[in-house]
Amino acid sequence: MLSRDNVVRFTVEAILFFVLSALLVVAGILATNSSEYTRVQSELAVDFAGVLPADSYVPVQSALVEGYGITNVYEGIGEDGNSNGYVVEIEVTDHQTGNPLNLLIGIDYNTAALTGLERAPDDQGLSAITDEDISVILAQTLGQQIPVAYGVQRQDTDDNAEQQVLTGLNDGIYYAQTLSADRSGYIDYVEMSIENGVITMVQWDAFNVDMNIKNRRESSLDGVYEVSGLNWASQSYILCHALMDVQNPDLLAMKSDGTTDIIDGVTVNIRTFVELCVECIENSRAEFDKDMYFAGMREIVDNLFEGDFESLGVMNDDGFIVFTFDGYPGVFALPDGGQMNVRQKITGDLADYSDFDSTAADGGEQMTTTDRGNEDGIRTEDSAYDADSIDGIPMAEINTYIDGIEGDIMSTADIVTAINTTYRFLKDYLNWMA
Amino acid sequence: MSVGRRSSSFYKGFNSDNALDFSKRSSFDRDVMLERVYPGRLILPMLQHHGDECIPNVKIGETVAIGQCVGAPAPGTMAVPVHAGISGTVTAIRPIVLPDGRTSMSVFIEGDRKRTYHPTVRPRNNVNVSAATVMGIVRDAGIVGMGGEGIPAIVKINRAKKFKVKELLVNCLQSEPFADSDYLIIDEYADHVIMGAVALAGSCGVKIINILISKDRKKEITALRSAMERSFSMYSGYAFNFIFLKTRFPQGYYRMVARAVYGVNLEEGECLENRCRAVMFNCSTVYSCWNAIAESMPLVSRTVSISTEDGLLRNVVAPIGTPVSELLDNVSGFKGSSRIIVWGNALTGLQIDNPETTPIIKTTSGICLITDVQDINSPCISCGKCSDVCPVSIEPDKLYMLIKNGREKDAERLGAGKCIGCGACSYICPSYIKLSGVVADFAALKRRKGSYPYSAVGDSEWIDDLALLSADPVSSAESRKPVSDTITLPFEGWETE
Amino acid sequence: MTERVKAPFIHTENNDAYSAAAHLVSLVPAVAVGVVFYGLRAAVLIAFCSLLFALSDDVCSRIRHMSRGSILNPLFNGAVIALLLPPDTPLYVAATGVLFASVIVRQLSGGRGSSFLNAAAAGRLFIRILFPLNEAALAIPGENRLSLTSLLTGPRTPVPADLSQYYFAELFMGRFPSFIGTSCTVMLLAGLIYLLAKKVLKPYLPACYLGMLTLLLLIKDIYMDTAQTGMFLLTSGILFTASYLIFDDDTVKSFGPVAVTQAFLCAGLTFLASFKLTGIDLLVIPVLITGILTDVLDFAFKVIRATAEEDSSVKS
Repeated sequence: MLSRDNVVRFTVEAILFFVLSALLVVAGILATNSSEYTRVQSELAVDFAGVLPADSYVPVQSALVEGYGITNVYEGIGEDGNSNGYVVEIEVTDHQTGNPLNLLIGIDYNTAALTGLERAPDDQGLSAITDEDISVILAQTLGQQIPVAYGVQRQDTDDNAEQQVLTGLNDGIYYAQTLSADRSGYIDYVEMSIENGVITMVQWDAFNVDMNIKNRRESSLDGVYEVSGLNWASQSYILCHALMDVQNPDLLAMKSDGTTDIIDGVTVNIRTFVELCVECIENSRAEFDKDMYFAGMREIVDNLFEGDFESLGVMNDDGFIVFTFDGYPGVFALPDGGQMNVRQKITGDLADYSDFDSTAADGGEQMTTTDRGNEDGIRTEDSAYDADSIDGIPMAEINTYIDGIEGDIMSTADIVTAINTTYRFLKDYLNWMA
Repeated sequence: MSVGRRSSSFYKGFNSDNALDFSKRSSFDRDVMLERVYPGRLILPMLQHHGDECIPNVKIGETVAIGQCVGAPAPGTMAVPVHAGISGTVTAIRPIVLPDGRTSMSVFIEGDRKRTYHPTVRPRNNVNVSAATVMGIVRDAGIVGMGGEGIPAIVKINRAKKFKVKELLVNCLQSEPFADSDYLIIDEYADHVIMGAVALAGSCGVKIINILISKDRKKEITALRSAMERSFSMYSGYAFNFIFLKTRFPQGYYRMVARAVYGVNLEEGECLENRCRAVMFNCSTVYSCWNAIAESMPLVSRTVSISTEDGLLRNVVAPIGTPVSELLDNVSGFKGSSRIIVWGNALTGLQIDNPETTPIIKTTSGICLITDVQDINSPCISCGKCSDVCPVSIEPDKLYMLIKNGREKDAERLGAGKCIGCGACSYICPSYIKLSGVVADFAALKRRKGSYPYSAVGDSEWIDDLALLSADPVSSAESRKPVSDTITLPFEGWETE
Repeated sequence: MTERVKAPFIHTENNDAYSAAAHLVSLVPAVAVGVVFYGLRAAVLIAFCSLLFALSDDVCSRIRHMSRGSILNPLFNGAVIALLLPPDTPLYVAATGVLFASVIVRQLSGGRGSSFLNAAAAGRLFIRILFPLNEAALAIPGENRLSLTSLLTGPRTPVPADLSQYYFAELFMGRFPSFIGTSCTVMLLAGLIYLLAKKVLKPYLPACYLGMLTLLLLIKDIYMDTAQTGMFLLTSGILFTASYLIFDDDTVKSFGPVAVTQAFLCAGLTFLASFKLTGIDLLVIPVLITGILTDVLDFAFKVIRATAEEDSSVKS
């Protein structure tokens, strides 16, 4: 055992030793800061040379970084001391393998154009996305403003002479929603723009009868609404653009189980989408546009409850009518004797789709809702969500449209998601377009 | 004039740590260092040396004076006389058991507080005595090795003459923790040490005197140098050398000296005299020799270090035979102490339970008071420190385990018999395992011969062979009866020299 | 009458507890480096490993009714394991290594002092084998000092371990991704000097080990026309080995010729290992092999000597 003197001596020595050591280490850190800075800058210069050349790189310390799942962000400073732009190191999940992919993305400060895109030095190479894939996307995006959308170029739509354009379509914005909520409370809707008789925009999403729950697209981006394969928002995006490509829902090759094999990346049941699209097309032919659809709904609800949407609390913050006709079969007859130009009343043998949950609608006929996710119990904060969007970015903000990697929509989606997440971060961080 | 040379120390042993730091001695301690003790009674064992017991030559009720012989050797025995250190009356003559286990007839003297000296005790007029005279004085003054070995000085002189030694070594290497009585002798009586060394050198027939001392002992070295200069005219023809060694224990042991000074590893049966052509005397022994020559004072007192393990240290001059209890009662700071009393020094001494009947003897250089015997219940951690310090290069940890497990042959083969019981291994052991207790006991058992008890620092074998006074350990009780008429009182025959 | 106590009546202050305390205090600079560089998680890991080792050691000793010596020794061993860990090591990994070292290595091989393996080194190697991915739990000094998540979740994003770009000052101060307590040369030197000042380690032992190893590395550099000696000495953590792993109080002798042999042997093995091994393997594998070989050689030497003595006695 130690004598008391030794206990005291060792204790004092330990405390002194610790304090002196800590001071010495801190002094050492201060003394080596310049060395470290020089070394780190030279390493970063090498690492970021192909992404964003700069005189120096300053790490961005922001709580926003964590929120976007971004690993690191550096601000590139030019020789004049002004910002050149940003280098974002971001990890995205490769949906083919489920493995992470680390990318470096360089964005010019002044033009918000992409200055570089490459695999990060510390990427483990576990992803199925190859350097060639990245190069393809880089070739399409280099010098282009972010955000980026893929699959179709809006400006090219009119030029597609070979499309089988449906006849009898009237220009306008058309809308249709399911009259019953699915098991998770989602009411699907499709909004379709028709210009010059051509479908130029399609948006498929769903809002929830529980107004506190985000719409399905946003929930899927948040990860609370999960489907197999790509996230639901991406699949919806791809599907909508596929329809714009083919111009006819019948050409989406929906199989009897509601799925399709011909659209890369789309694994969800598309029956509801197809039906709502058909309804929109019918509405177009009948010149029953979105405003009239909403007016018809209002009329039915007023007639049914003798009140308006606002007082009945059936309109959500985004202006959608959160109303399900469950329990009110056959009530969508309009007071003037006509009927809403809705397709829910059309017949269809849905008995085969036993894997779908069914709800009674339209006089006992069944209608289906997709139920492929773990959407039960979703409770997220109420937030407005811009409907027409990709990766949570309104389509109106999209600056660049690319073709993506030929035949590999999933890899395209993953890389584009990385670029667009970078955009969302920078938008928040720099308060762009506030 | 003296010269000095450095000599590497033997490479074993240990250096002093805080417990042994003599530099902590205060100036106050210095002032009272040579405190003298005047006990009220003495217990004088007839066996205080390495050899045979003396025969009491006084009777109960007889009055004795300081310096008077109270025990004389029987004819043909290896013994030296015992003298009274106080004046008073013999109250009893009966055997006592010494702490080392030896039983010895002892003369009990009740002091009269008069400090009456025996008529023979007076300064010698002419100290230019012959070698033969010195030998006679040394023998009859009852001088023995005071460093602890207890070999009668006359035995060493005769052995030196027999082997025609070339050098005389003065051992000033006291290094056992707390003990510094030898250094007090040097500090206070350096002249006596120098002159005693010269006298012994003359008696041994050598001209070279080497003083072995730690290089750290600067004060003592200075004292000795000064003494040499003062006495230079008196020892012409003799050359003094200093040999400086490192401070480590047990540096003063003759085997360590042989290794350090002569680079010789003494084998079994070898000694300094026959291997190194040198004879070694402790500085206290040398001092006592000169005291006997110059003052005609036999060995009746000695300097004793009284110490505690927490640093209290007193050196006192005490009459030989002073009961330990009286010694402690008469020294400031130790009266009424309830500590464990160690007869001897801290590493090689023996615990005593009866200080009232245990006396200081000629070889007792220290009394230690220990508060508590430390035990930390820790296993051997195989650190190897015990082997590192062992002066005879055995492995105490392994031997300890072998002996404990009954593998005595293996232990013997690994050199357990070489153990000198210095205690260095036990001292240094970080787990406080009592290595030396077990190994030294084993070694003692193996080396014990005849009636001689085991001695940690002396090999009885060669002493037997070389004793001037031939030993007779198996002599019959009849032959050892007191024969007072055959005893020549010390000094009476030398007065006319 | 009390039992008679045999000499010696005093013992050196430099006892088991003193040695363990000195070793423990000598770790303080390395601990300070770990805490300053890696923050709370390093502090928690060190405290956790130390306390767990002490607790485990105490329980095992009680079960086996064996004396366990100073509690400071297991605290020291636990701390050594912790200092050899990457900073982002989760607690369960650390606990596995500590329990292996304490229960398996130390207790099952005979308890303290009887083991031929350095418990801490063996425990650390066990972690290396059982959780190889954990070796990637290095972190950049100065980052995430207040975060404790790695104690539960394990490694964050692996950091690049290429030290060739680092400056001498950074390497000397240990400011590079490494184990918690093995990187800072200046602090390891401080700890070593403290051990020497406290006389619990003979100066010639680390001198033999480091000198021999440096010499071999220099010869290699000259022969192969490379210049790796400096980098090796600064980044490999061998100062930690010299101070805390080879000459421990638990296994083979830490004094005398055996220890010197051990120092040279370990230096040679470390040199050979440097061709193939890196990281923790380079630190602990030579130490463990040295421990085994030293015991074997010691035993063989004793047998040879005993046989020779027996022969000579028979002849005489």
